[in-house]
This record gives sequence, structure tokens and C-alpha cells, in this order.
Amino acid sequence: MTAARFVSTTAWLPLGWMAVFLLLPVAILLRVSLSEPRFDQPPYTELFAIDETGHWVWEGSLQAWRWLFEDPTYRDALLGSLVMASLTTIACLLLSLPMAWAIARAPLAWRTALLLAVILPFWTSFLIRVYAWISLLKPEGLINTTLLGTGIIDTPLLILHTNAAVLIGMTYAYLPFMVLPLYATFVRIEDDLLQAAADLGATPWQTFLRISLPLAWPGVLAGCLLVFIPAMGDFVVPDLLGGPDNYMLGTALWNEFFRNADWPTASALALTMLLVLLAPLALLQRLQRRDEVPA
Amino acid sequence: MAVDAAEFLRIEGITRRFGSIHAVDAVSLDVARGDTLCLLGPSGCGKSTLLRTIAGLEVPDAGRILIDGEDVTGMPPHERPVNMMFQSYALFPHMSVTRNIAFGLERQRLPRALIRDRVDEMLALVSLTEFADRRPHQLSGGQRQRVALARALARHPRVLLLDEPLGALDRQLRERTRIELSAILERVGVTCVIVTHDQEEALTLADTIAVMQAGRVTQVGTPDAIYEHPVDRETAELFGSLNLFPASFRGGQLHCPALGFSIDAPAGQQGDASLAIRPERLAVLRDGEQRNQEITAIVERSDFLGASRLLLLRLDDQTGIRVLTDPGNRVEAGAEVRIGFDQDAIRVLPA
Repeated sequence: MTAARFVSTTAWLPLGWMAVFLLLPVAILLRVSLSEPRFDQPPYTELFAIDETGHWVWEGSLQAWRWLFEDPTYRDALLGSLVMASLTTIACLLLSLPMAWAIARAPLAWRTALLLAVILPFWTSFLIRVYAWISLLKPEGLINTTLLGTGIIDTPLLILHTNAAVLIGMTYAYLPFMVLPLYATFVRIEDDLLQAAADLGATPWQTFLRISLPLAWPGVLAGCLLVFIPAMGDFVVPDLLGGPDNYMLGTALWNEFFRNADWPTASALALTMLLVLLAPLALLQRLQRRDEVPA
Repeated sequence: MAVDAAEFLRIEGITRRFGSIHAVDAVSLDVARGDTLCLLGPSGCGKSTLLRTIAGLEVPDAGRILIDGEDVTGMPPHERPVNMMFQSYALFPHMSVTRNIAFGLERQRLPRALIRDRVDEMLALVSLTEFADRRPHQLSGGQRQRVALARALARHPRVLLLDEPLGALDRQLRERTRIELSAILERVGVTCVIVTHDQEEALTLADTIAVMQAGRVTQVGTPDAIYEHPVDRETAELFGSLNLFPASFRGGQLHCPALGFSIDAPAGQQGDASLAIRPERLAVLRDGEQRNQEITAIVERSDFLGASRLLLLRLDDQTGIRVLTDPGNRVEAGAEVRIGFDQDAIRVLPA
């Protein structure tokens, strides 16, 4: 098999993957979103029916989509998700920049150990780690007992089941997705460039802002998307750590599917979320093309 | 406080250790204002470490660096009045040529108009005006080298440091670039320290050469003084290949059995020595031609090198000799030739 043949053959793999696991489900979602819910199996109506004259007639409905735009609950959920995902992304970025920088500039022998420390939590189930946060954050949890014990506070802080708890949990959960791409770009920056900046009069902080950060820009973008996109649709963290005032897309989606058994609305919501997430992806594509620098 | 111009840059007993290795070992050197000092030595001799110490990128374990009387030893690199051209050039890949050159000036918070003028001046100096908006990856190796030079000169450093300035260029470009570099440095008149392992670079660019070996300075002098009178074999070998013959002092004379040759030696010299003759100072004698010193040898190889011909000869006692001769001198392997040389071509070095 020639190289060109091999490339054209292997190119079908990602395309096939996408067709089976993205396009097909999206098509199904679209189809379900155009029907109405019913108490039956399947729990949604047919799109077409055969009338008495033997013709196919359109039986579908735009009811689900209409609700999506009319009921403020969904708009609030979208807004809640946008705000929480943005805050999570910013928190991850601010924490990851010094972390990734320190790992990238650490002696070679240390780097593997430090990177491992970032990745190690993945060895444990995501769900268990979120549960662990409950016992850390709850009024009689480790954080509160420690603070009470040292006398810093005299009434327990109410963190669990607030937006703060969701932010803490999501930042914790997605931090590695920010650290790793940042590290990957930081570590490729040559020492010579940083020394040249210092030699030309730049303080370490100026060097970071003007040399390291711009050169790590692709990593910053990748990291932000890797955090923002799953954070937008996250259900587990808001459900376990969040409270009644916390309403996000993931929760709304779950409610429609399982609590209300309204598959059409849930499908319309899922499609909307997908469209909202396509925007930052398209943005990334554009920015990366602009920043492409041949080696 | 201005000091004697001959001590504009003072390197005083600089020592830099890496673990148990003395990368730079108690080196002291002075550079006069406007002069160019070349640190010449094989790789690993500590010349780059010494240069980086002057830039502040290495902190010495002992010693001081003074610039125009001011002790800069403890000063961080971004505060030092020196600028360095890195061997890799270290151009900022995300910035245009203009932004690269302006980078150091912007850190000085100079007025915009002044920065623009200075950048234009530097672009003109290195003949890159029409490439001002290019990124480094859009330039050739020689152009990048000039951007690096312009960037290092833009801040008008009191001392300019060049680390293997021609090291990353290919052979054809080197000579032309060396001549351009020499002209630019002369025009700017900046005090300069250049690190190189290339003897031609050192000979043509330097006012003074400091030869370094294993962290120490073994000889300091003008290019022709060092070339003509190297203090030891290692220094002599930095400037091209060398024929070495064992010799010994005996009864006020230096005797070399291989060449069958004795010369008067200064009184009191004892023990063994080496006689050194450069291949180009040996001549293949034609029939009837006479020199004051002659030996005969068998030709083992005769290699045409283009501009010259390298002969590998063997003496009766199996000592090998290299002779650089006229390329048209078609000596065949196996032939017996007479080799002549003048006594002043001989250098006496420690054994």
C-alpha cells in the first residue's frame, strides 16, 4: 500500500467515527426534537402518518423548539452554564499559568513527577472525586472543622450547595485540561529567548507577559476550550455540589429527559447546546490558522 | 567614575563551577574602550560561560566584573549596560524584525519617535530596511544574524557580547558575513567581546585574542603575536595543523633527531621540548634548489585540495610530516622528495 493510499484510507477512520458517533446521533436528536412527547414506547410521536387517502402527511411539531425560546427557564440555564463555564475557565487559567510555567521550567528530573501529580487524580473515578468534595465542603466537613478548630471562624461556612461549591468543583475537575496544553507550549519555549529578553532589559514579569505568554497562546486557547466545552454541559458537579439557585444546561437536560420524560424538548436543548459550543470551536480554528508559524 | 580607557571592561578573577568542574577558573582580563577581545578555544573550554557571566546570565562563584569602573557583578541581566548576540540568535518568533529590534528600546521607556528613529538607523546599519515587517522565519540565516546584531546594538550597549556570531551560518556565507560584521563593529566602535572556536574569525575580528583551555586563559595577545608565537602546542594547534617533532636541550643546544638538526638554545634550558613547523612553511624543493635546512622523505599521500595540495610524508625514522604546497606540484605517492625550510619557521614549544 502506498503512503498516499494509506493516508486516504486512514482518513476514513475519523470520518467514519464522526458519522457514527456524532452525525447519526445529531440526526436522531433532530428527528426527536421535531415530535411531541407521549406516554408510550418510544416516548415521542411519529413525524409522518398515512391519512385515509393513503398519502404521507406531516405530523411533526415545532412545539419543543417553541418552548425552548419562550420558557425563560432554558434561557436561564444557558446563561447559568455560560457564566459558570466562563468563571471555571478563568479560574483554571489563572491557576494553571503559574503551575504549568513552574513545571515547564523545573529541572528535567522533576518534570515527570510534577506532571504525574497533575494527571494522577484521573486514576480515580471522577464521580468519587466529586463526592470527596462534598465531605470537604459540607458544614461539618474537613474545611469547616479545621477553620473552626483554629478559631479563624466561629460558625461553619456554607459552601456546599452554592455556586461557589460548583465553581470549586469544576475548577478542580478541569484543571488538568488547562495545565497540560499550557505545559506543552511553555516547555517548547527555548531558554535562549527568555535570556535574550532579560538581556534586552525585560524584567522576569515583562518577559513572561511579552515572550512566554504570547508564545504559549495556542496552548492557552486549547486549554480554554478543553475546559469551557465540557464545563458548559457538565451535569455531575452542579448536581452534586450545586444548590437550588444553580440551574445549568446539564441539569435542565437531565430534568427534561428523566424527570419530565419530555424527549423532544430535551433533544432540542441538546442540539442548542451543540450549536452554542460550535462557536468557540470555529473561533479556535480561525485563531489557530492565523497564528500558524512554520518552524 | 570613568577609569583608564585600557581597563574599560575588567574581568577580575572570575570563577564559575558546575559541580566539581571549574568551567571558568580564576580568569582575569582587561578590554580597552572600543577594542574587540576574542575568547578563542575549543568547545567546553569555558569561553561561553565567561561571556554569559559578563552578560549576567551566569553568576560567578568568585571574582568581579567591572564596566567603566562600576562593579556589575551582582546586577541582574536586565539592568546591565551590555547586550548579547546569542549563538542561536534567539529572535522572538512572534515579532517582526522591527519589533525585535525595538524590544530593548521599549524596555528603556524611550519616546516612541526616538525608538522609531533608532530602529530605522539599525535597519539601515545592517541593510535590512526592506525586511522590517518580516517575521524571523521569513528570513534567511544571514538576515537573521543581522537582525540579532541590530537588536543587540540598538540599546547602544557599553559592551557588546557576541557568542559564536558566525557559528550558525554555512561556509559560503561565513566569509562575507564576517567581513560585514567586522565593518559594522568598526563603524559603531563599540567595546566588544566575541566568543569563537574558529581561528579565522578570531584573527580577523579581534584586537586582542585570549586563548582559553579548560577554564583558564593560557595566552593573551594580538592575533599575529599569538599566531606567530604560541605558548604551547594546544594554542598552536588552534590555528591549523602543525608538525611536531620531539627535541631535547643538551649542552646549550636544542637537538632534534628526527630533523637531524640542532640550534643554539638559551642558557639554562633543560629537558625535552617540541619543535613545531606549520605545513605551509615547508617547501618541496625542485632539483638544484637549496635551503638552509633540508630533509628527505617518502610521499605517502598526495591530496589535491583545490587551492593547495596536502602531502603526507614519512621520514626515515617513520615520523609523519604534513606539507602544504602548490596544487600544481604533482608529486606522486611513493616518490622521494627533498623538503626545505627556514630556521625562522621553527617554534620551540614545551614538550
